[in-house]
Formats: sequence, C-alpha cells, structure tokens
Amino acid sequence: MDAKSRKSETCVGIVILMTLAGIAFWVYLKQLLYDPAVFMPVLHPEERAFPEASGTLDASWFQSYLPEGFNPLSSVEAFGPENLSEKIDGKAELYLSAGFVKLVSRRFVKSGQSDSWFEVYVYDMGNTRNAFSVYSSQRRADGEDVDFTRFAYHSRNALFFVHGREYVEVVASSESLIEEMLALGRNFVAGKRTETGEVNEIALFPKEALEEGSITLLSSDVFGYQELNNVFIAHYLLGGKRFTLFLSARKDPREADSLAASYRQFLLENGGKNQVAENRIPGLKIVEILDSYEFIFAHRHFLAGVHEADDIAMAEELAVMLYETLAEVTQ
Amino acid sequence: MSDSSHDSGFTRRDFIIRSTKAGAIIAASGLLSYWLHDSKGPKAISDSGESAILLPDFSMPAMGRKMSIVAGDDRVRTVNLALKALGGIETFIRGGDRVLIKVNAAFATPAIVSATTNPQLLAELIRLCYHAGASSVAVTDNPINDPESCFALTGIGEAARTAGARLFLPRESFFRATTVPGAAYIVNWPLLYEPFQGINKLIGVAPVKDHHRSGASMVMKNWYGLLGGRRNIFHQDIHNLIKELAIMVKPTFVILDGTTTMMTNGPTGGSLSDLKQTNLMIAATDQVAADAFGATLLGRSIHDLPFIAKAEAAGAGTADYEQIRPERVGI
Repeated sequence: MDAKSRKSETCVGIVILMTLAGIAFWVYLKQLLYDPAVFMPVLHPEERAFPEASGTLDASWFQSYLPEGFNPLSSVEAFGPENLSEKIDGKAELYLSAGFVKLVSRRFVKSGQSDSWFEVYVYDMGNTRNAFSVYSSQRRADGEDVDFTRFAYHSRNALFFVHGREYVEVVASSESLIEEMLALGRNFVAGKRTETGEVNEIALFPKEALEEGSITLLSSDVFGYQELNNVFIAHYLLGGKRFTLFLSARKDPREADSLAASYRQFLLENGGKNQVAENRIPGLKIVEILDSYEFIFAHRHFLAGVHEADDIAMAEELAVMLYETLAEVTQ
Repeated sequence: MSDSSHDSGFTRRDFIIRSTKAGAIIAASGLLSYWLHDSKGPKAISDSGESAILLPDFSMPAMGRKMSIVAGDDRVRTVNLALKALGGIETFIRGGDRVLIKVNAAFATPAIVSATTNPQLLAELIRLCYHAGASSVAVTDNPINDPESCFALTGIGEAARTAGARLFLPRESFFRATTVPGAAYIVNWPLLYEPFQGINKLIGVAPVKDHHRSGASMVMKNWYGLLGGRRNIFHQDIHNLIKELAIMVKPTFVILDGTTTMMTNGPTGGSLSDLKQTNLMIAATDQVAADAFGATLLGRSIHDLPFIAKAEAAGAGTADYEQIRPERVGI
C-alpha cells in the first residue's frame, strides 16, 4: 500500500473512532439528564394499588388475630424502603435510618359500625433492636404500659408494641376500641411465635431517679452530630431537675475513645468551652455549651455521658452513677 | 497498512470495496438505531405535549397583608370570627367567584388524629364561600396514600359533598408540567392543574403539625399536595422545596387550624397523645406570617424552621407577623 492509501485509511479510522466517541459522550450526557418527573408511575386511582397488595401477600393477612366482629375494610398494602414515604411521608426517614425492611398494613372495621375501625401497621425492622429504636423514639409520655409483651403501651386510641423484629402500631378511629385493640395485640403476640432479641443497654442505666419508660434508642444524627449513632438515652429526675444520660456500645474501646474525642471536638467547634473535671471518672471531659454542660467519657467499649445538663454538680453525680454501673458489668 | 499486506495483493480496489462495506454497515446500524429510537421517551405526566403552565396569582394585593388570630375550641365559630376580623369573607369571595380549596388530605387516617384538614372546618368554609356568592366551590389534594381512602376516611370527602363542593381526586390527566421561575426543584414538574381550570379564588386550609423532616407542616407545606411525580425525593432539601411552593402558589387567603396541634410524631401522628389543644384559628392573606405564628404553637422559633425565612427572602410574605398587626380576638 502506498503512502496516500495509508493516510486515507488512517483518516477513515480516525473518523470512525471519533464518531463512536461522540456517540458515547452523547449517551453519557443524556443519562445525566434523568428527569424523575418523567419516569414515574401513572396516577389512575385504580392503578395506584400497591403491587404487593393483591400479589404475594395473603388476602387473609392478620385476620386470624382479629377480635370477634371485625372484618377487613381495605386490602393489604405493603411498602419497602423505596416507597415507605408514600405511606407515612416525612416520618419515613425515622424508620429508614433505623434499618427498616418492610411495612404491611391493613384497616379493619367493626361489623355494622362503619365509623369504628382501626389500621394495623406491622413494620419489619430487621431485628428487635431496630424495632425498639422506632418504638422508643416515638413513645408517648402518657402511654400506659401493657403486659402482653416486654415493650408495649397504649394511648387512648392506639396501641404500640415490639414483637420479635416487628414494630406494630394499631391506630383506631375512636377511643371506644381500646379493648378490641388490646385483644388483637394479645392474639398477635400469642399467635405469632418469634424470638425477641435482647436490648442489653437498657439494663446498664442506673435505676435510681430513672424516669420510667424514658429509655430511647436514637439511630442517627444524635445530638446533631452526624458521627454519633446508635445511642441510648434515658431521662432522670433529680432534685426537681431533668437530666439526660447517654450510652452507646461501640465496636471496641478504641472506637469508643475516638468517638468521645471527636464528639467533644464537635462541641468545641460549635462554641463549647472546656471545663475542669474532677478525677472521679477516668478520662471524663466536660464541655460548657449554650449555658449547659455536656459530660463525655469512654469506658471499655462504651461511650457515655450526660447531655445538656443545667446543674454541673448533679450531672456529675449521675455521670458517676453511670460509670460505676458500667465498671461493675464490664469487670 | 504494512508492506506485507501490500505484498499479499491488497489493492486500492480492495480498499474501496472494504471501505464501502464498512460504510454500508455503519449506515445500516445508524438507520436501525434511528428506527428503534423513541424520540418521545416514556409517556409522562409532565410530558403531555402541551406547554408548561404557571399557576395564576390568586392573591388580592389591594387587601394588603392581613392576619387574624382567634381563640376558641369551636372551629365553626372561630373561622367565622377570623374571617370577620380580616374584613369578612365577602371581602375576598364575591358573587360569581369560582373557588378552589386546597385541603390537607395526605393520609387515610381518622379525623380525630388531626393529621388532615378538619372536616367540620372545611364544611363551614364551603358554606361561607357560597354564602358570599361563590358560584362554585371545589376541593382538592393529591394525597400520598390512596386518594379515595384518604378523602373517605378523613371525613373530608363527605364534608365537601354535603356542603355542595365538587371533589377533585387526582387522575393522570389532571396533571400538567409547571416550572417555578428561578426554582431548583419545581422545574417541568407535574402539577395537579385540572382543579384550577376556571377558578379565580384559592384558599389553603391546613392543620398545625409537627413534621419529622421539615420541623412543621402548616399552610406552605400544604401546597406540596399539588405536586405529582416522585415528589418524595424533595425530602432531602425540604426547606428549599417549601420555599418554592410558597413562590408557586399565591392564594387569596389561608386558614391555619391551630385548634388542635400535633406536637410530636408528625406528620402522621396516630395517637391522641401527640395532640395538644391550642385553641387558635388563624386566617391570613400572608402565608409566611401564618406559618411564622403557627411555629409558636409548636413551641418552635423561625430559626427552627428554615423554610419560613427562605420563603420570606423569596418575597412570599413576612416572617415578622407582628409587623402586619394581626387582629387578635378572644386572646
């Protein structure tokens, strides 16, 4: 082949390669212009039924737990992490950050009384600990404890409990249905055998001055600090003042130490000032911030402390109580 | 091309033949791609082939910025007094007006949990509109739950029908694409537009609620229910989205129902324990002022709810509600 032919061939080759590169670039740009408003399901009411509602879920779902005289008012609805917000809107974040797996819900109505109905929400949270997190973080202060399972209470129109890996809510249309809801809860717990896991940290909080039912597991962004997750808090009443103790089991002592230091640094960067701490707790740091005191310490693999205390002396007493309890169980 | 190929008898003729074949293959591929290419893409709500629309301005600038706050637990009485304090409903609704009321029917929950617009309040508002000479009153929302269940179980549907209003449940054909000038999110986004056809007055009516994501759900957040599409993606930047909603919708006036406030576990609530009797009804021509006052019912400041300051900065109203000297009745 002569020089002219080689040059022509090279040119054609370059043109082809450039064309292919151009197409690839165009495809790349096009996929960046994804429009979520365009790629959405249609909104015909009859087509808005949820895929699993009439599919994989049994139409008799939950009916075996119902008290006498109740019938389904709606079909079964099921939601996953991708569409939970279609059911509970902005509250979905709370569940998603706690390990949500699936929600199944359904409404039931009392025979002959169309205005007497309740909706059952069964949230599969993956494990008991996650279920306890959403249960405890929404706990109503005036809720009355229920005895059919360890974590359960009811309010005037609703029932809330943890069973195994599931968090269950029953919300009624009137206050007159509480007995029926309690019967339903008992039937569910007795009829659905499952293993309820332990939430060990609950036992580590000192009992003295502890506000009953106040222990809560916060999953993420605890105290406004992004790195702080899986933290148990508990409220205490001491000398007429309210205090919040916190406790978080980390992977190992190194992580607990590191988190204690970074949380303290976070407070200092946001206007906090170091305070001198007595030596009653090894490694205790106190930060004064916004007219309150934050006590932070690490013991073994636990991060612990007192959050936003108004009274530094009483907060220290509580911190010592928590430290002694931890020291005892980790001996 | 190497000399060896030349030696093997590759001639100019061969090159032209091969080049022609290659060109033919490329051309055929191009034609096939062109034939397979769907230039319209999937049919979408925002892609109906019609031009994007903008909501008209329903406000009455001549009325100025006004607000009234009325104490009492009887919504029928307080909404009457609140509108009277603004100059009477006749000031806003005149003979022959065609009114649209945007309710909050987001959830298929019973009215007693106050997660949605109170049906009694809605019925009275419809009655007042007709009494003032409105030729038609329509009620709408695009709930996140199944619309038929939402309107039925909240009592909103029956209240609207009984009071003589037309109910607009969302359908695919009711949506048109809209773009809010200068917006980052509401760009070519599906809007529930059909209920707006032919109307000349718009009223927003919403309860005061805690909201897990935005901190509060009141009148500005209530416009969220006019959007279609996968709107839950906006939760990641909810404050700016609410600001855009406040720019998008310019109502004639708004009613913020603070008779019962959902203090915790919003926006769904579920338990009567989440509610507090705050016994206030707010009417306003300034939706930002209404929400700024509503924040106080939740025990929150404007700083806790960034969307208020953002809406004010965008020119949607004033966060300093005292500046517009609200009429206080019975306080």
